Amino acid sequence: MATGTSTEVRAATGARASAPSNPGGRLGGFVDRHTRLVFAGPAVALILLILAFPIAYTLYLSLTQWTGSLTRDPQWVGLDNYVRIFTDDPRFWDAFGRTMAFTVGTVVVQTVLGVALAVLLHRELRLRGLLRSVMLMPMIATPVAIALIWRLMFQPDLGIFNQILNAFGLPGSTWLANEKLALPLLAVVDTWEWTPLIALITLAGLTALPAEPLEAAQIDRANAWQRFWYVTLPMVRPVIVVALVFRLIDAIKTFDIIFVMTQGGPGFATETLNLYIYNTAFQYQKLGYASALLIVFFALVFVLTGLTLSFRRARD
Amino acid sequence: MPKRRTGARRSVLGSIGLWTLIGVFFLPFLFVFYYMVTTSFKSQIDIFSPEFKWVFVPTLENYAAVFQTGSFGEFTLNSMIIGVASVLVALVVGLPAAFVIARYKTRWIGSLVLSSRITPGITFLIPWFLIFSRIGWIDTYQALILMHVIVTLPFVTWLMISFFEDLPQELIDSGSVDGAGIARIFWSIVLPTTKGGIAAAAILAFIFSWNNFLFSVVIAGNSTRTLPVAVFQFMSYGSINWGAIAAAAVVMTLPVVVLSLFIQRHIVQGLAGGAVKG
Amino acid sequence: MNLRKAARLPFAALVAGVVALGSLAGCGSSSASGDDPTSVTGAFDWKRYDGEQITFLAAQTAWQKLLTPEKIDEFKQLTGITVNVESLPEAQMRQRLQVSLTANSADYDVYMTSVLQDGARFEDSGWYENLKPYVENPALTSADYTFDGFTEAIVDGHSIDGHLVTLPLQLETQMLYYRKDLLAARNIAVPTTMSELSAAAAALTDRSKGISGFAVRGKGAAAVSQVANFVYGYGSDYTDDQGKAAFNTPDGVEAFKAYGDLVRTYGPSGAVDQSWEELLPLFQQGKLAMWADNSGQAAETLNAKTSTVADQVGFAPMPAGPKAASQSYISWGAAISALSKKKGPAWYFVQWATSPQTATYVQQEGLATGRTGVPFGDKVPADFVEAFQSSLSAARPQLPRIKSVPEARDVIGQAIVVSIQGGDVAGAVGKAAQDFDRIVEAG
Repeated sequence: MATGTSTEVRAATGARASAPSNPGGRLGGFVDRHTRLVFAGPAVALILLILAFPIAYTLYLSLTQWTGSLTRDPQWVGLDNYVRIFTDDPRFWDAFGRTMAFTVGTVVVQTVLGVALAVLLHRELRLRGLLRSVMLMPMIATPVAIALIWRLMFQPDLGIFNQILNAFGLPGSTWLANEKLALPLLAVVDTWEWTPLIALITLAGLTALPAEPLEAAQIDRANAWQRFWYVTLPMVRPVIVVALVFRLIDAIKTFDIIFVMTQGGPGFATETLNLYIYNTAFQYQKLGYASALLIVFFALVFVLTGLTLSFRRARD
Repeated sequence: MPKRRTGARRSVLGSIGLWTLIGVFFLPFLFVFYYMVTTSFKSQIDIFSPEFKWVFVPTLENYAAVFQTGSFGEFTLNSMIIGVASVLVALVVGLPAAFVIARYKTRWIGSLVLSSRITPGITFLIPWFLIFSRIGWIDTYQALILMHVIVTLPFVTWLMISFFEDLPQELIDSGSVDGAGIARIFWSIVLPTTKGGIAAAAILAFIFSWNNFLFSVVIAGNSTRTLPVAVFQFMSYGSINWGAIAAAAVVMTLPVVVLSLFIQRHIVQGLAGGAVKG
Repeated sequence: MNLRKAARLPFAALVAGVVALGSLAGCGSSSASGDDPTSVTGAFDWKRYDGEQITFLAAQTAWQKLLTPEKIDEFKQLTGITVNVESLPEAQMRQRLQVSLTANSADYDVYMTSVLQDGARFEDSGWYENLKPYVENPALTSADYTFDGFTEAIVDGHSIDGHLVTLPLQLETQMLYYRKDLLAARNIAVPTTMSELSAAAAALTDRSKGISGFAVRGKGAAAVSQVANFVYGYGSDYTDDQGKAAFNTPDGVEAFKAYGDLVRTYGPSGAVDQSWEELLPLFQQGKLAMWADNSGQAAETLNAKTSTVADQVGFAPMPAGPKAASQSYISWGAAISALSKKKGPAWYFVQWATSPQTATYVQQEGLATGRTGVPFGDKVPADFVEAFQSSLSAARPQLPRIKSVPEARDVIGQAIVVSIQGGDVAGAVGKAAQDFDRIVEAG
C-alpha cells in the first residue's frame, strides 16, 4: 500500500487548487451518492447494536424480577423495582452519595493540581519530553496493576506508608481497612492516575494561547499572580472545562481500582453505584433489580452527557 | 514565552525553586513505579521486612513464579488476540465514520460515538452478559471482541476526526479531478496521508483494550481469560505472594508503557474525545 | 435511502429482538443435560467412563489443599477420567461460579458448594443435579461406597425438598485455636466462657511484641459465619419462626457488641479487612495468642513448613455464651452441575471424593469429612478431635436459612464492621435487621 500511494499523494498535491470543492455530488457511483450511509452506516449500526439493544433489553428486565434461573422466567412486576429504589433502598442512596462525593472530590482536586502542574511546566524546560512521558505513565498503566501496587503500599504490616510512619516513630494506620479513610484513599489513587490528564490538556491549551494579552498585562504592571488569574486563566478556561467534564464522566464510572483495592469494603464504605450494581447482578443474582438500578445510573450519566455536549457546543 | 533575565542569582534561585516544585509533583508518579519494579525483584523476606529495604539482593524468583504458575503465556495471548481484533474492527468501522464526521459535518454521528464513550461499561455488561449466556457466547473470543469494540471504537473515531479535519481540502479535491470516487480517494489518498494518526489511534485503542478489566472479569472464562483478570486472581490464599503480584504487574504494564512512548502526543487527544490537540 | 432511515432500522429489529429474548430466556434448560446417566444399568465398573475429561471448580480450602496432583492422578489411574482442577480464593470462586452458571455454561462439571451459603438459591435456579438417583443406582455406585456413613442429619442437611444436592467434603465447626506456650507462661486456663475469653485476651495481648490476645474475622460478610455462635450464645438467633430477623433483640445487640469489642480491643490492626486468609498467616507467624475460626484451619496451623508455632497449638470448643452453650457448623460439599454434559464422569469424581477411602485419607490429615465411622489420624492431636466432636453435637448452622444469603451476609457484615470500629451497635444491628427483612421479602 505505502509504495503506490506516496506517488499518488505527490501527484495529488501537484494538482491542488485546480478543482472546485464538491466531493461526492458530481461524480457517479453509489458510494459517491451515499457516502454518509456507506461510510458511517456500519459504525452507526454497530453502536446502536452495542448500545441501544442492551438498553432496551435492560428496560424490559427492569420491570421484572428474575434470578437468571433456568427453570423460571422473569416475573413481571411493573414499576416495583423503581419504586423500591426511590422509596425503600437506603443502600442505593448511600452508594449514590459516595459516587457523587468521590466524583466531585477527585475532579476538583485533580483540576486544581492539574492546572498548577501545567502552569509549572509551561516554560522552556530541560527534560520536558521526559517529564511528559512520566506524566503519561499513570494514565496508561493497567489500572489493575496499579491498584494492586497501591494496595500493597497501604498494607498495615508490610506497606511503605506504615514503614515511613514507623521510621519517624509514628504509629501506623490501617489505611484501607479504616472505614473513614478508605474512600478518600481511593480518591488519592484516582488523583494520582488522572491529574496528569488535566495537566497535559491544560498545558496544550496554554501553549496555544496568543501572547498579546499577556504582554499587554505585563505593560500594565500586573504581577504574575494577577496575570495568571485575570488574563491566562480566563483564556484557557474552555479547555479546562472540557478536561474537567471528561474526568467527571470517567470518575463516575470508576470500577477497577475500587474492585481491586477494597471490593466496596470495609462494610459498604467504598461501595459506589457501579459496585452496588455489580454486586446486585453477579453476587445476589437479582437481575431485574440490577437492571432497574442500571437504568437509573444510565439516566444519571445521561444528564452528564447532556452537560458535556452543551459545553462542547458552547465552545465550538 | 515570558522573559526572565533579571539577574543570574535570581534565575539560579528560581530554577532551584522550580525544580523542587516539579520534584514534589513528580515524586509520587515515579515512586509508585519504582516501588512496583523493586518489589518485583525482592525476595519474600525483604518484602516482609518491617523496614523498607532500599538496598537488597535482587532475585528473579518472583518472575519465575509468574511464568511457572498458571498459563501466563496463554493469558497474554488472549489479551493480544482480543486487543488486536477489537482494534481492527474499530479501524474498519471507525475510520470511514470519522471521515464522514470530519468532512461532512455530521455532528449527530459524533454525538452518538461520544455517548458510547460516556455510557458506563456496566450498562453494556449486564444485558450483554445475559444475551451471550442465552446464545452460548460466554467465554468466546467473539463475545469479548464485541465488548472490547465498545472500548476501542470511540478512541479510534475521536482521534481520527481531528486528523481528518486537518487534511487540506485540496488534497481531496485533487483526487476528484483525477476522476477517482470518494472510496478510492479515501483509500489511496486520505488513509496513507494520515497513517501516522491511524497508528496512534490503533495503539491507543489497543492499550485501553489491554487494560480493560470489567468486561473480561465477567465474560471471559477458562479459555479466554485475559491478563488483568488472571493477575487479579493471583491473589491466592494463605499468605499473598506480593512479589509475584508485583512481577505480574510489571509484565502486564511494560508493553503498555513502551507502546505509549510512540504515541505520546496523541494520548491526551484520544482521552479527551478529540477536544484538545495535544 | 438516507442515513436517518437506515438508523431507524436497527430499532425495529431491536424491539422484535427484545421480545424474542424475553421468551428465549426461559427455555434453555431442557436440552442441556444430554443422556441421562442415571438410567445406566449393569455391573458397577470404575472404568465405565475411561478417557473422559471433566472440570472441577474448587474453592481454596483445607480440602482443596489435600487434593494434590498425586491424588488427581490416583483418580485417573482408577477411572481413566482426567480432572482439570481450577481453584480460586473463596470469594472469587463464588463469583466465578455464579457468573458461569447464570451464563448457562457447562464450564464446570463439578463444583464445590456450601449448602448453607448457596443451597436455596442454587436449587431454585436449577443448578444442582439431584445426586440421589446416582447413589441409589448400583450400576453407578460402588458397593463399598457405604452411603450409610452419612448420618440422617447430614443427608438432610445437604438435601433440599428431597433432592440430595451435594455430598460433604469437609465439615467444620467454629473452634478456638490457642497458643499453649503463651497461656502457660501467664498461667491462664483455656477459657470456657465469654467473660473468661475476654479476660484471657486482655492478659495475653502484648502490643510491644506485636501479639494480639484474640482474633476473629472482621471482614464484613466473611465474619457473619463467625458471629453466629456469639448470636446463639447470647440467647438470640438470626431469624424467628416466621423467618423475620431476630438478631436485633437486646441479646443480639449484646452479641454483636461483644464480638466487635473483642476484635477492636485485642485483635490485630486492620481487622475489618481480615478474613481467615489474612488471620491464618498471622497465627502461623505467632502473632495471635488465641484465634476463633472454623476447624478446617487446624491442619495448616499444625503444618511445620508454614507454621512457626506448629508444636504449640491447642484446640478447644468455643467458650459458652452468657445465655447458652451453643456451637456452630458449616460444610463444603461437591455438587454436580445440572448443566454438565458429563454427569456420569462427574458423579464418579464426586463419588470418589466422598468415598470412605478418600475420607480416611482426609481425616488422617486432621480434616473432618462428614462421614461417621472414619477415624482421625494418629498424628491429629487429641484435643482437636475432642473439641471437634463435642462441638459438632451441639452445633447450629453458621448462616441464616434463607435464599439470599450473600446479600444478607453483606448487610449483617456491615453491622459487624460498625461494631468493630466502635460505632453505634444498636443502630447498626437494627438497620441490618430492617435490611434483612427487606431482602427476605424481596425474595
